[in-house]
Amino acid sequence: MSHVRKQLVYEKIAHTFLGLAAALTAAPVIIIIVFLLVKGSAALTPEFLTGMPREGMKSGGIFPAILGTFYLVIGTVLFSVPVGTLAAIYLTEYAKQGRLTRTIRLAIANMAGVPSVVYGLFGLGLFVLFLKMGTSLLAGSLTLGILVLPVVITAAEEALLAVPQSFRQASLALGATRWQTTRKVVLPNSISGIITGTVLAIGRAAGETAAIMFTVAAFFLPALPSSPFSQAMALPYHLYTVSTQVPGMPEAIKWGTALVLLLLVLLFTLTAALVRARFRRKKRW
Amino acid sequence: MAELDGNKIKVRIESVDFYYEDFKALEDISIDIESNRVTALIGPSGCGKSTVLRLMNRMHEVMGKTRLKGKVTLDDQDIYAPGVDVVELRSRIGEIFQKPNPFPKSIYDNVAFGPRLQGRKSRSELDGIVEKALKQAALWKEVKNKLNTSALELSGGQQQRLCIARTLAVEPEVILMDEPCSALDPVATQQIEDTMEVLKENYTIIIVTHNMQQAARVSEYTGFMLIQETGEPGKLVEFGPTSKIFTMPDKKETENYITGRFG
Ligand SMILES: Nc1ncnc2c1ncn2[C@@H]1O[C@H](COP(=O)(O)OP(=O)(O)O)[C@@H](O)[C@H]1O
Ligand SMILES: [Mg+2]
Repeated sequence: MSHVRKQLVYEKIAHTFLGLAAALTAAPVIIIIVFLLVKGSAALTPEFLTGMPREGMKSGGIFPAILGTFYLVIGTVLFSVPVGTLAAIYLTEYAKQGRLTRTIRLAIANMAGVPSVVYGLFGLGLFVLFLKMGTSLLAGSLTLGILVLPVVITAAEEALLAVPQSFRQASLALGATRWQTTRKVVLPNSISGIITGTVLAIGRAAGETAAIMFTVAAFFLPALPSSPFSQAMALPYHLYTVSTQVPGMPEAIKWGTALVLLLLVLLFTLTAALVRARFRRKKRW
Repeated sequence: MAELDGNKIKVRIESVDFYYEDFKALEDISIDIESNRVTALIGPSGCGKSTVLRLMNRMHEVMGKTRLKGKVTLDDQDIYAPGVDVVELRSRIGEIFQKPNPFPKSIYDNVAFGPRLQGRKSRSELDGIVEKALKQAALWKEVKNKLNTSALELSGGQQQRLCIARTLAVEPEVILMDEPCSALDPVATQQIEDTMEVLKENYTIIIVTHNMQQAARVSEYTGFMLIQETGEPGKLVEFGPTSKIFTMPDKKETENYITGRFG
Protein backbone atom coordinates (compact mmCIF):
# COMPACT_ATOMS: atom_id res chain seq x y z
CA MET A 1 0.00 0.00 0.00
CA SER A 2 1.36 3.38 -0.89
CA HIS A 3 2.18 5.85 1.84
CA VAL A 4 -0.58 8.22 0.82
CA ARG A 5 -3.19 5.49 0.76
CA LYS A 6 -2.13 4.35 4.20
CA GLN A 7 -2.61 7.90 5.54
CA LEU A 8 -6.04 7.97 3.96
CA VAL A 9 -7.01 4.78 5.76
CA TYR A 10 -5.78 6.19 9.07
CA GLU A 11 -7.77 9.31 8.38
CA LYS A 12 -10.90 7.23 7.87
CA ILE A 13 -10.31 5.26 11.06
CA ALA A 14 -9.69 8.43 13.06
CA HIS A 15 -12.84 9.99 11.65
CA THR A 16 -14.91 6.95 12.56
CA PHE A 17 -13.61 6.68 16.10
CA LEU A 18 -13.87 10.36 16.87
CA GLY A 19 -17.41 10.38 15.57
CA LEU A 20 -18.19 7.35 17.67
CA ALA A 21 -16.85 9.04 20.78
CA ALA A 22 -18.99 12.08 20.10
CA ALA A 23 -22.06 9.89 19.58
CA LEU A 24 -21.26 8.04 22.79
CA THR A 25 -21.39 11.24 24.84
CA ALA A 26 -24.74 12.23 23.37
CA ALA A 27 -26.16 8.72 23.63
CA PRO A 28 -26.96 8.58 27.37
CA VAL A 29 -28.96 11.80 27.19
CA ILE A 30 -30.92 10.61 24.20
CA ILE A 31 -31.45 7.16 25.69
CA ILE A 32 -32.72 8.66 28.95
CA ILE A 33 -35.12 10.94 27.15
CA VAL A 34 -36.43 8.19 24.88
CA PHE A 35 -36.70 5.76 27.75
CA LEU A 36 -38.65 8.22 29.88
CA LEU A 37 -40.89 9.12 26.97
CA VAL A 38 -41.70 5.49 26.29
CA LYS A 39 -42.28 4.53 29.90
CA GLY A 40 -43.78 7.75 31.19
CA SER A 41 -45.78 9.43 28.47
CA ALA A 42 -48.80 7.18 29.12
CA ALA A 43 -49.01 8.68 32.61
CA LEU A 44 -49.07 12.25 31.31
CA THR A 45 -52.80 12.84 31.49
CA PRO A 46 -54.26 16.23 32.31
CA GLU A 47 -55.36 14.82 35.62
CA PHE A 48 -51.80 13.70 36.44
CA LEU A 49 -50.45 17.18 35.76
CA THR A 50 -53.14 19.20 37.50
CA GLY A 51 -54.56 16.92 40.19
CA MET A 52 -53.73 16.26 43.81
CA PRO A 53 -52.29 12.87 44.81
CA ARG A 54 -54.82 10.36 46.06
CA GLU A 55 -54.81 7.01 47.82
CA GLY A 56 -51.42 7.46 49.49
CA MET A 57 -50.09 8.93 46.21
CA LYS A 58 -50.78 5.69 44.36
CA SER A 59 -53.13 7.51 42.06
CA GLY A 60 -54.19 11.04 41.24
CA GLY A 61 -51.81 13.74 40.13
CA ILE A 62 -48.54 15.39 41.08
CA PHE A 63 -49.57 19.02 40.76
CA PRO A 64 -48.33 20.04 44.23
CA ALA A 65 -44.87 18.71 43.43
CA ILE A 66 -44.76 20.53 40.09
CA LEU A 67 -45.86 23.76 41.70
CA GLY A 68 -43.41 23.31 44.58
CA THR A 69 -40.48 22.83 42.23
CA PHE A 70 -41.60 25.81 40.19
CA TYR A 71 -41.67 28.01 43.31
CA LEU A 72 -38.31 26.69 44.45
CA VAL A 73 -36.69 27.47 41.12
CA ILE A 74 -38.10 30.98 41.14
CA GLY A 75 -36.96 31.51 44.72
CA THR A 76 -33.50 30.18 43.95
CA VAL A 77 -33.09 32.40 40.93
CA LEU A 78 -34.41 35.47 42.78
CA PHE A 79 -31.76 34.96 45.42
CA SER A 80 -28.76 33.58 43.56
CA VAL A 81 -28.76 35.62 40.36
CA PRO A 82 -28.67 39.11 41.93
CA VAL A 83 -26.24 38.07 44.67
CA GLY A 84 -24.07 36.07 42.28
CA THR A 85 -24.00 38.82 39.67
CA LEU A 86 -23.17 41.49 42.24
CA ALA A 87 -20.40 39.30 43.64
CA ALA A 88 -19.02 38.76 40.15
CA ILE A 89 -19.17 42.51 39.48
CA TYR A 90 -17.26 43.14 42.68
CA LEU A 91 -14.61 40.59 41.77
CA THR A 92 -14.05 41.72 38.19
CA GLU A 93 -14.87 45.43 38.20
CA TYR A 94 -14.10 46.71 41.67
CA ALA A 95 -11.71 44.57 43.71
CA LYS A 96 -7.98 45.10 43.39
CA GLN A 97 -6.76 41.84 41.91
CA GLY A 98 -4.56 40.24 44.53
CA ARG A 99 -4.47 37.79 47.37
CA LEU A 100 -7.98 38.60 48.60
CA THR A 101 -9.65 38.02 45.23
CA ARG A 102 -7.60 34.86 44.72
CA THR A 103 -8.79 33.55 48.08
CA ILE A 104 -12.39 34.38 47.28
CA ARG A 105 -12.16 32.66 43.91
CA LEU A 106 -10.62 29.59 45.53
CA ALA A 107 -13.44 29.50 48.07
CA ILE A 108 -16.00 29.73 45.28
CA ALA A 109 -14.35 26.92 43.36
CA ASN A 110 -14.41 24.78 46.50
CA MET A 111 -18.05 25.58 47.20
CA ALA A 112 -18.89 24.01 43.87
CA GLY A 113 -17.39 20.73 45.02
CA VAL A 114 -19.23 20.44 48.34
CA PRO A 115 -21.75 17.55 48.28
CA SER A 116 -25.30 18.79 48.18
CA VAL A 117 -26.34 16.90 51.31
CA VAL A 118 -23.89 19.09 53.21
CA TYR A 119 -25.73 22.14 51.90
CA GLY A 120 -28.94 20.52 53.07
CA LEU A 121 -27.59 20.15 56.59
CA PHE A 122 -26.18 23.66 56.49
CA GLY A 123 -29.56 25.02 55.41
CA LEU A 124 -31.26 23.02 58.16
CA GLY A 125 -28.91 24.45 60.76
CA LEU A 126 -28.87 28.05 59.55
CA PHE A 127 -32.22 28.80 57.96
CA VAL A 128 -34.63 26.24 59.37
CA LEU A 129 -33.43 26.17 62.98
CA PHE A 130 -31.22 29.14 63.78
CA LEU A 131 -33.13 31.74 61.75
CA LYS A 132 -36.40 30.00 62.66
CA MET A 133 -37.75 29.86 59.13
CA GLY A 134 -38.90 26.30 59.69
CA THR A 135 -39.02 23.83 56.82
CA SER A 136 -40.29 26.24 54.22
CA LEU A 137 -40.03 27.38 50.62
CA LEU A 138 -37.93 30.28 51.85
CA ALA A 139 -35.42 28.07 53.66
CA GLY A 140 -35.29 25.70 50.69
CA SER A 141 -34.82 28.48 48.14
CA LEU A 142 -32.04 30.06 50.17
CA THR A 143 -30.30 26.72 50.58
CA LEU A 144 -30.57 25.99 46.86
CA GLY A 145 -29.52 29.58 46.17
CA ILE A 146 -26.28 29.08 48.06
CA LEU A 147 -25.76 25.73 46.39
CA VAL A 148 -25.96 27.23 42.89
CA LEU A 149 -24.12 30.45 43.76
CA PRO A 150 -20.71 29.21 42.51
CA VAL A 151 -22.24 28.33 39.15
CA VAL A 152 -23.85 31.75 38.83
CA ILE A 153 -20.76 33.66 39.96
CA THR A 154 -18.42 31.76 37.67
CA ALA A 155 -20.63 32.19 34.62
CA ALA A 156 -21.22 35.87 35.38
CA GLU A 157 -17.51 36.49 35.93
CA GLU A 158 -16.66 34.91 32.61
CA ALA A 159 -19.31 37.00 30.92
CA LEU A 160 -18.02 40.22 32.49
CA LEU A 161 -14.41 39.43 31.64
CA ALA A 162 -15.40 38.82 28.03
CA VAL A 163 -16.42 42.47 27.65
CA PRO A 164 -13.49 44.18 25.93
CA GLN A 165 -11.39 46.41 28.17
CA SER A 166 -11.58 49.09 25.49
CA PHE A 167 -15.31 49.60 26.20
CA ARG A 168 -14.55 50.34 29.85
CA GLN A 169 -11.76 52.70 28.86
CA ALA A 170 -13.98 54.56 26.45
CA SER A 171 -16.69 54.96 29.06
CA LEU A 172 -14.38 56.08 31.85
CA ALA A 173 -12.60 58.51 29.53
CA LEU A 174 -15.97 60.09 28.78
CA GLY A 175 -16.38 60.89 32.44
CA ALA A 176 -18.46 57.92 33.53
CA THR A 177 -18.07 56.62 37.05
CA ARG A 178 -17.18 53.00 37.61
CA TRP A 179 -20.77 52.17 38.47
CA GLN A 180 -22.12 53.99 35.40
CA THR A 181 -19.62 52.07 33.30
CA THR A 182 -20.71 48.78 34.84
CA ARG A 183 -24.39 49.52 34.43
CA LYS A 184 -24.42 51.08 30.99
CA VAL A 185 -21.58 49.33 29.22
CA VAL A 186 -20.41 46.18 30.96
CA LEU A 187 -23.70 44.63 32.08
CA PRO A 188 -25.64 45.11 28.81
CA ASN A 189 -22.81 43.39 26.98
CA SER A 190 -22.55 40.45 29.34
CA ILE A 191 -26.23 39.75 29.84
CA SER A 192 -26.25 36.64 27.65
CA GLY A 193 -23.47 35.06 29.70
CA ILE A 194 -25.28 35.88 32.91
CA ILE A 195 -28.39 34.20 31.52
CA THR A 196 -26.29 31.11 30.82
CA GLY A 197 -25.39 31.01 34.49
CA THR A 198 -29.05 31.34 35.36
CA VAL A 199 -29.92 28.40 33.11
CA LEU A 200 -27.34 26.21 34.74
CA ALA A 201 -28.54 27.29 38.16
CA ILE A 202 -32.12 26.41 37.25
CA GLY A 203 -31.09 22.99 36.06
CA ARG A 204 -29.30 22.29 39.31
CA ALA A 205 -32.01 23.73 41.53
CA ALA A 206 -34.87 21.90 39.83
CA GLY A 207 -33.22 18.52 40.11
CA GLU A 208 -31.68 18.82 43.55
CA THR A 209 -32.95 16.37 46.17
CA ALA A 210 -30.58 16.20 49.12
CA ALA A 211 -30.51 19.95 49.71
CA ILE A 212 -34.29 20.23 49.97
CA MET A 213 -34.94 17.11 51.98
CA PHE A 214 -34.31 18.81 55.34
CA THR A 215 -35.20 22.34 54.41
CA VAL A 216 -38.50 22.38 52.55
CA ALA A 217 -39.74 19.15 51.08
CA ALA A 218 -42.68 17.32 52.49
CA PHE A 219 -43.58 13.72 51.77
CA PHE A 220 -47.21 14.62 51.28
CA LEU A 221 -49.23 17.77 51.89
CA PRO A 222 -53.00 18.00 51.66
CA ALA A 223 -52.87 21.66 50.56
CA LEU A 224 -50.83 23.74 48.15
CA PRO A 225 -48.20 26.04 49.62
CA SER A 226 -49.72 29.39 50.46
CA SER A 227 -46.72 31.52 51.43
CA PRO A 228 -42.91 31.50 51.41
CA PHE A 229 -43.11 30.03 54.89
CA SER A 230 -45.12 27.02 53.76
CA GLN A 231 -43.66 23.60 53.34
CA ALA A 232 -43.93 22.27 49.84
CA MET A 233 -43.67 19.11 47.84
CA ALA A 234 -41.10 19.05 45.08
CA LEU A 235 -40.59 16.83 42.05
CA PRO A 236 -37.17 15.33 42.79
CA TYR A 237 -38.10 14.51 46.36
CA HIS A 238 -41.47 13.19 45.24
CA LEU A 239 -39.72 10.98 42.73
CA TYR A 240 -37.46 9.73 45.48
CA THR A 241 -40.37 8.90 47.79
CA VAL A 242 -42.62 7.26 45.20
CA SER A 243 -39.70 5.19 43.97
CA THR A 244 -38.36 4.01 47.31
CA GLN A 245 -40.70 4.73 50.19
CA VAL A 246 -44.13 3.51 49.10
CA PRO A 247 -44.59 -0.19 48.45
CA GLY A 248 -46.84 -1.12 45.56
CA MET A 249 -46.47 2.18 43.72
CA PRO A 250 -47.69 1.93 40.09
CA GLU A 251 -44.79 2.12 37.61
CA ALA A 252 -46.53 4.76 35.53
CA ILE A 253 -46.50 7.26 38.39
CA LYS A 254 -42.75 6.87 38.88
CA TRP A 255 -41.88 7.24 35.22
CA GLY A 256 -44.42 9.96 34.75
CA THR A 257 -42.95 11.97 37.60
CA ALA A 258 -39.44 11.56 36.22
CA LEU A 259 -40.61 12.63 32.79
CA VAL A 260 -42.34 15.73 34.13
CA LEU A 261 -39.20 16.72 36.05
CA LEU A 262 -37.12 16.33 32.91
CA LEU A 263 -39.57 18.28 30.77
CA LEU A 264 -39.77 21.07 33.33
CA VAL A 265 -36.00 21.48 33.36
CA LEU A 266 -35.94 21.40 29.56
CA LEU A 267 -38.66 24.03 29.45
CA PHE A 268 -36.75 26.39 31.74
CA THR A 269 -33.53 25.78 29.85
CA LEU A 270 -35.13 26.31 26.49
CA THR A 271 -36.78 29.56 27.54
CA ALA A 272 -33.52 30.91 28.87
CA ALA A 273 -31.68 29.74 25.76
CA LEU A 274 -34.15 31.66 23.58
CA VAL A 275 -33.73 34.82 25.63
CA ARG A 276 -29.98 34.38 25.41
CA ALA A 277 -30.12 33.93 21.65
CA ARG A 278 -32.06 37.17 21.35
CA PHE A 279 -29.36 39.08 23.20
CA ARG A 280 -26.63 37.22 21.33
CA ARG A 281 -27.93 38.34 17.97
CA LYS A 282 -27.60 41.96 18.94
CA LYS A 283 -24.02 41.62 20.12
CA ARG A 284 -21.09 41.75 17.74
CA TRP A 285 -17.59 43.02 18.30
CA MET B 1 6.82 78.71 9.42
CA ALA B 2 6.17 81.97 11.19
CA GLU B 3 7.05 82.46 14.84
CA LEU B 4 4.28 81.31 17.12
CA ASP B 5 3.02 83.87 19.51
CA GLY B 6 2.54 81.98 22.73
CA ASN B 7 -1.02 81.11 23.61
CA LYS B 8 -2.00 80.66 27.23
CA ILE B 9 -0.76 77.46 28.88
CA LYS B 10 -3.62 74.95 29.10
CA VAL B 11 -1.87 71.94 30.56
CA ARG B 12 1.44 71.99 32.38
CA ILE B 13 3.41 68.92 33.28
CA GLU B 14 6.07 69.78 35.84
CA SER B 15 9.03 67.52 36.69
CA VAL B 16 7.00 64.33 36.64
CA ASP B 17 8.37 60.92 37.50
CA PHE B 18 5.93 58.08 36.94
CA TYR B 19 5.90 54.45 38.05
CA TYR B 20 3.87 51.36 37.12
CA GLU B 21 4.29 49.28 40.31
CA ASP B 22 8.06 49.56 40.79
CA PHE B 23 8.86 50.19 37.15
CA LYS B 24 9.86 53.76 36.46
CA ALA B 25 8.23 54.57 33.12
CA LEU B 26 8.90 58.32 33.00
CA GLU B 27 11.60 60.52 34.45
CA ASP B 28 11.62 64.25 34.87
CA ILE B 29 9.04 65.12 32.25
CA SER B 30 8.13 68.80 31.89
CA ILE B 31 5.91 70.01 29.08
CA ASP B 32 3.85 73.16 28.65
CA ILE B 33 0.87 72.68 26.36
CA GLU B 34 -0.58 75.79 24.81
CA SER B 35 -4.29 76.12 24.32
CA ASN B 36 -5.81 75.92 20.85
CA ARG B 37 -2.76 74.25 19.43
CA VAL B 38 -1.98 70.77 18.26
CA THR B 39 0.95 69.38 20.20
CA ALA B 40 2.51 66.16 18.93
CA LEU B 41 4.47 63.60 20.91
CA ILE B 42 6.81 61.42 18.88
CA GLY B 43 9.35 58.79 19.76
CA PRO B 44 10.02 55.08 19.47
CA SER B 45 7.53 52.58 20.79
CA GLY B 46 7.69 52.01 24.55
CA CYS B 47 9.21 55.39 25.39
CA GLY B 48 6.18 56.45 27.40
CA LYS B 49 4.09 58.59 25.03
CA SER B 50 0.78 56.94 25.96
CA THR B 51 1.75 57.20 29.60
CA VAL B 52 2.21 60.96 29.25
CA LEU B 53 -1.33 61.20 27.85
CA ARG B 54 -2.70 59.16 30.74
CA LEU B 55 -1.17 61.55 33.26
CA MET B 56 -3.46 64.24 31.96
CA ASN B 57 -6.79 62.44 32.39
CA ARG B 58 -5.64 60.17 35.21
CA MET B 59 -6.59 57.09 33.19
CA HIS B 60 -3.62 55.21 34.66
CA GLU B 61 -5.53 55.08 37.92
CA VAL B 62 -7.82 52.38 36.54
CA MET B 63 -4.86 50.23 35.48
CA GLY B 64 -3.57 49.02 38.83
CA LYS B 65 -0.86 50.34 41.07
CA THR B 66 0.83 53.46 39.80
CA ARG B 67 2.70 56.32 41.43
CA LEU B 68 3.35 59.84 40.29
CA LYS B 69 5.81 62.42 41.55
CA GLY B 70 5.63 65.99 40.34
CA LYS B 71 2.73 68.13 39.28
CA VAL B 72 0.19 68.30 36.46
CA THR B 73 -2.06 71.31 36.10
CA LEU B 74 -5.06 72.16 33.94
CA ASP B 75 -5.70 75.91 33.80
CA ASP B 76 -3.22 76.26 36.68
CA GLN B 77 -5.24 73.88 38.88
CA ASP B 78 -3.38 70.83 40.19
CA ILE B 79 -5.35 67.88 38.83
CA TYR B 80 -3.91 65.53 41.46
CA ALA B 81 -4.83 67.75 44.39
CA PRO B 82 -7.04 66.05 46.96
CA GLY B 83 -10.68 66.75 46.29
CA VAL B 84 -10.33 66.91 42.52
CA ASP B 85 -13.25 65.11 40.90
CA VAL B 86 -11.78 62.64 38.39
CA VAL B 87 -15.11 62.28 36.65
CA GLU B 88 -15.27 66.03 36.03
CA LEU B 89 -11.62 66.09 34.98
CA ARG B 90 -12.30 63.42 32.36
CA SER B 91 -15.23 65.32 31.00
CA ARG B 92 -12.86 68.28 30.48
CA ILE B 93 -10.06 66.19 28.98
CA GLY B 94 -11.34 63.65 26.45
CA GLU B 95 -9.38 60.83 24.87
CA ILE B 96 -9.39 59.15 21.48
CA PHE B 97 -7.78 55.74 21.51
CA GLN B 98 -5.52 53.97 19.08
CA LYS B 99 -8.10 51.44 18.00
CA PRO B 100 -11.57 52.87 17.31
CA ASN B 101 -13.69 51.67 20.24
CA PRO B 102 -17.34 52.58 19.64
CA PHE B 103 -19.83 50.89 21.95
CA PRO B 104 -21.95 48.16 20.37
CA LYS B 105 -24.88 50.58 20.33
CA SER B 106 -26.43 52.75 17.68
CA ILE B 107 -24.54 55.70 16.22
CA TYR B 108 -26.90 58.03 18.05
CA ASP B 109 -26.52 56.29 21.39
CA ASN B 110 -22.75 56.38 21.08
CA VAL B 111 -22.69 60.14 20.70
CA ALA B 112 -25.40 60.66 23.32
CA PHE B 113 -23.58 58.48 25.86
CA GLY B 114 -21.57 61.28 27.48
CA PRO B 115 -24.36 63.89 27.61
CA ARG B 116 -26.70 61.27 29.11
CA LEU B 117 -24.16 60.59 31.85
CA GLN B 118 -24.38 64.25 32.69
CA GLY B 119 -28.12 63.89 33.08
CA ARG B 120 -29.13 65.54 29.81
CA LYS B 121 -32.09 63.48 28.80
CA SER B 122 -34.49 65.52 26.73
CA ARG B 123 -34.73 64.12 23.24
CA SER B 124 -34.64 67.47 21.48
CA GLU B 125 -31.58 68.62 23.42
CA LEU B 126 -29.80 65.34 22.70
CA ASP B 127 -30.75 65.54 19.01
CA GLY B 128 -29.06 68.91 18.84
CA ILE B 129 -25.92 67.75 20.64
CA VAL B 130 -25.60 64.63 18.49
CA GLU B 131 -25.99 66.55 15.25
CA LYS B 132 -23.50 69.21 16.28
CA ALA B 133 -20.89 66.70 17.42
CA LEU B 134 -21.22 64.60 14.28
CA LYS B 135 -20.88 67.71 12.14
CA GLN B 136 -17.75 68.80 14.01
CA ALA B 137 -16.27 65.34 13.47
CA ALA B 138 -17.15 65.58 9.77
CA LEU B 139 -19.31 62.48 9.91
CA TRP B 140 -22.80 63.97 9.79
CA LYS B 141 -23.30 63.77 6.04
CA GLU B 142 -22.42 60.10 5.94
CA VAL B 143 -24.60 58.97 8.84
CA LYS B 144 -27.48 61.40 9.17
CA ASN B 145 -29.89 58.94 7.58
CA LYS B 146 -28.87 55.96 9.67
CA LEU B 147 -28.39 57.27 13.17
CA ASN B 148 -30.11 54.23 14.60
CA THR B 149 -27.94 51.61 12.94
CA SER B 150 -25.19 49.95 14.92
CA ALA B 151 -21.92 51.86 15.15
CA LEU B 152 -20.15 48.60 14.38
CA GLU B 153 -21.41 48.71 10.81
CA LEU B 154 -19.30 51.76 10.06
CA SER B 155 -15.87 51.52 8.46
CA GLY B 156 -12.78 51.90 10.63
CA GLY B 157 -12.27 55.53 9.69
CA GLN B 158 -15.92 56.34 10.29
CA GLN B 159 -15.77 54.59 13.65
CA GLN B 160 -12.81 56.70 14.67
CA ARG B 161 -14.61 59.89 13.64
CA LEU B 162 -17.62 58.63 15.60
CA CYS B 163 -15.35 58.26 18.62
CA ILE B 164 -14.24 61.84 18.09
CA ALA B 165 -17.88 62.95 17.91
CA ARG B 166 -18.63 60.98 21.06
CA THR B 167 -15.84 62.82 22.85
CA LEU B 168 -16.87 66.21 21.46
CA ALA B 169 -20.43 65.70 22.69
CA VAL B 170 -19.11 65.95 26.24
CA GLU B 171 -17.66 69.37 25.31
CA PRO B 172 -14.16 68.84 26.61
CA GLU B 173 -11.49 71.52 26.54
CA VAL B 174 -8.60 69.22 25.76
CA ILE B 175 -8.55 66.19 23.47
CA LEU B 176 -5.90 63.52 23.82
CA MET B 177 -5.32 61.35 20.78
CA ASP B 178 -3.22 58.23 21.07
CA GLU B 179 -2.09 57.23 17.57
CA PRO B 180 -5.63 57.81 16.31
CA CYS B 181 -4.80 56.91 12.72
CA SER B 182 -2.57 53.92 13.17
CA ALA B 183 -5.39 51.52 12.33
CA LEU B 184 -6.66 53.57 9.38
CA ASP B 185 -5.94 53.81 5.67
CA PRO B 186 -4.49 57.00 4.10
CA VAL B 187 -7.86 58.40 3.03
CA ALA B 188 -9.37 57.97 6.48
CA THR B 189 -6.19 59.39 7.99
CA GLN B 190 -6.50 62.46 5.80
CA GLN B 191 -10.09 62.97 6.95
CA ILE B 192 -9.09 62.81 10.62
CA GLU B 193 -6.26 65.27 10.02
CA ASP B 194 -8.63 67.68 8.30
CA THR B 195 -10.96 67.36 11.25
CA MET B 196 -8.17 68.19 13.68
CA GLU B 197 -7.33 71.31 11.72
CA VAL B 198 -10.85 72.61 12.34
CA LEU B 199 -11.07 71.40 15.92
CA LYS B 200 -8.04 73.26 17.16
CA GLU B 201 -9.89 76.53 16.83
CA ASN B 202 -11.94 75.46 19.83
CA TYR B 203 -9.92 72.74 21.50
CA THR B 204 -6.44 71.98 22.70
CA ILE B 205 -5.19 68.81 21.06
CA ILE B 206 -2.36 66.53 22.06
CA ILE B 207 -1.58 63.77 19.62
CA VAL B 208 0.75 60.83 19.93
CA THR B 209 1.86 59.59 16.57
CA HIS B 210 4.25 57.13 15.07
CA ASN B 211 4.07 58.84 11.78
CA MET B 212 6.46 61.75 11.61
CA GLN B 213 5.01 63.25 8.48
CA GLN B 214 1.75 63.40 10.35
CA ALA B 215 3.34 65.22 13.28
CA ALA B 216 4.91 67.67 10.84
CA ARG B 217 1.59 68.19 9.04
CA VAL B 218 -0.79 68.67 11.92
CA SER B 219 1.09 70.09 14.89
CA GLU B 220 2.47 73.45 16.00
CA TYR B 221 4.58 71.96 18.76
CA THR B 222 6.40 68.66 18.96
CA GLY B 223 7.98 66.78 21.82
CA PHE B 224 10.48 64.02 21.15
CA MET B 225 10.74 61.25 23.73
CA LEU B 226 13.27 58.47 24.06
CA ILE B 227 14.41 55.66 26.30
CA GLN B 228 18.11 54.90 26.49
CA GLU B 229 17.56 51.16 26.87
CA THR B 230 14.63 48.89 27.66
CA GLY B 231 13.91 49.02 31.36
CA GLU B 232 15.07 52.64 31.56
CA PRO B 233 12.52 55.40 32.09
CA GLY B 234 11.33 57.48 29.17
CA LYS B 235 12.57 61.05 28.97
CA LEU B 236 11.64 64.11 26.99
CA VAL B 237 14.67 64.84 24.83
CA GLU B 238 13.44 67.97 23.19
CA PHE B 239 10.33 70.09 22.95
CA GLY B 240 9.66 73.06 20.74
CA PRO B 241 7.88 74.44 17.70
CA THR B 242 7.37 71.69 15.15
CA SER B 243 9.09 73.69 12.43
CA LYS B 244 12.22 73.88 14.55
CA ILE B 245 12.21 70.26 15.73
CA PHE B 246 11.96 69.03 12.16
CA THR B 247 14.48 71.39 10.58
CA MET B 248 17.13 72.26 13.12
CA PRO B 249 16.73 70.30 16.33
CA ASP B 250 19.08 71.16 19.18
CA LYS B 251 19.78 67.57 20.13
CA LYS B 252 21.69 64.97 18.16
CA GLU B 253 19.23 62.21 19.19
CA THR B 254 16.31 64.15 17.76
CA GLU B 255 18.08 64.68 14.49
CA ASN B 256 19.04 61.01 14.26
CA TYR B 257 15.50 59.89 14.90
CA ILE B 258 13.95 62.32 12.47
CA THR B 259 16.42 61.83 9.65
CA GLY B 260 16.44 58.08 10.25
CA ARG B 261 12.72 57.92 9.84
CA PHE B 262 12.47 60.38 7.03
CA GLY B 263 15.08 58.27 5.16
N1 LIG C 1 -0.44 49.31 32.41
C1 LIG C 1 0.89 49.18 32.44
N2 LIG C 1 1.47 48.44 33.42
C2 LIG C 1 2.81 48.29 33.46
N3 LIG C 1 3.66 48.83 32.59
C3 LIG C 1 3.15 49.57 31.58
C4 LIG C 1 1.74 49.78 31.47
N4 LIG C 1 1.52 50.56 30.38
C5 LIG C 1 2.73 50.82 29.85
N5 LIG C 1 3.73 50.24 30.57
C6 LIG C 1 5.17 50.33 30.31
O1 LIG C 1 5.56 51.67 30.34
C7 LIG C 1 6.46 51.97 29.28
C8 LIG C 1 5.87 53.07 28.41
O2 LIG C 1 4.71 52.58 27.77
P1 LIG C 1 3.79 53.48 26.83
O3 LIG C 1 3.48 54.73 27.55
O4 LIG C 1 2.68 52.64 26.38
O5 LIG C 1 4.78 53.78 25.63
P2 LIG C 1 4.45 54.26 24.15
O6 LIG C 1 3.05 54.75 24.11
O7 LIG C 1 5.47 55.33 23.88
O8 LIG C 1 4.68 53.09 23.25
C9 LIG C 1 6.68 50.66 28.53
O9 LIG C 1 7.86 50.07 28.99
C10 LIG C 1 5.49 49.83 28.91
O10 LIG C 1 5.83 48.48 28.93
MG1 LIG D 1 1.42 54.03 23.01
